[in-house]
Amino acid sequence: MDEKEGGRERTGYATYALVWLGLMGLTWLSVTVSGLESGALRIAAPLAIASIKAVFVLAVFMHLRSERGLVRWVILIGLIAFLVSGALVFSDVAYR
Amino acid sequence: MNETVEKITYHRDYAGAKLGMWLFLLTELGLFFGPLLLYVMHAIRHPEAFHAAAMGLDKNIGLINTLILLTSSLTAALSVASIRRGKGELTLIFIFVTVALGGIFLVNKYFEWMGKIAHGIYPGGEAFAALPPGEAVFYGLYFFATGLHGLHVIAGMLALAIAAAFTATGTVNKRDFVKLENAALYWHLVDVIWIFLFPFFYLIS
Repeated sequence: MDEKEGGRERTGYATYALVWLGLMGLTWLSVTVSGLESGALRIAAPLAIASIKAVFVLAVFMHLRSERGLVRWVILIGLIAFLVSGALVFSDVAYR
Repeated sequence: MNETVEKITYHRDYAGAKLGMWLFLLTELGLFFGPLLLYVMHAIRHPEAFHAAAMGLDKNIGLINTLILLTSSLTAALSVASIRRGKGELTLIFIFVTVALGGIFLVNKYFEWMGKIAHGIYPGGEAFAALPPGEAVFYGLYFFATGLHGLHVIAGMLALAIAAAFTATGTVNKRDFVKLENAALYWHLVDVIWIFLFPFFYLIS
């Protein structure tokens, strides 16, 4: 499904279509689990599914899986910085 | 007779253009990260009020808009895949479909907002002022986050339209397509942001 072009990987049309189908399925799943009675799962599952969907978009649609070197590090460090600051704020508010 | 051959070279920095775009996208993520953190903080303090307020939003409109944006992300990715294969006309079709889907998203959002505004639920509205504090915060964040996202959808549509013009004139082509690629990256980021806004405002409260 993926092709090589001058040493660089080129994502095939079929790969994009498959990922899109997966994203549609995950959206359906998140709506379904949000209707469940169980409180913790009703909140955690849609957010976990959203994170999986975001990873698919970043990796395939935004070609992050074929990026190398500095770009990859910059994005990784940026995302980790957001996660750490979010976790610190959350812990501060939740356990104050 | 001396013949002067003028060599014109264009400076291209593909890696620099991509890195610059990703740095910009990270700042955009930070812009939305703040309101979502505020949401979490207030949702912890007012769980019942957030639940009551979220019940007032139509989950189906949120779902339809999610499916629209995910599909537009597919067509944006396909536009880049097409230009890399030298298919200019197909690229333009995919860009057109992406922009059209963005327009449909905004129309849905317009009707959703108007439904709330008609009932006085908007910052400064009478019904809004009478809401319990937690519900007012929920709708304040809803209007701010979805409004800011809507502005980003418009910016993305403009960026793609400009990339389409470059494609039509041949400036964007099989060998030099970073302008289109970066416009598509911006569009995907708008999609990623919505992927998180959807559960926060329509599903988990």
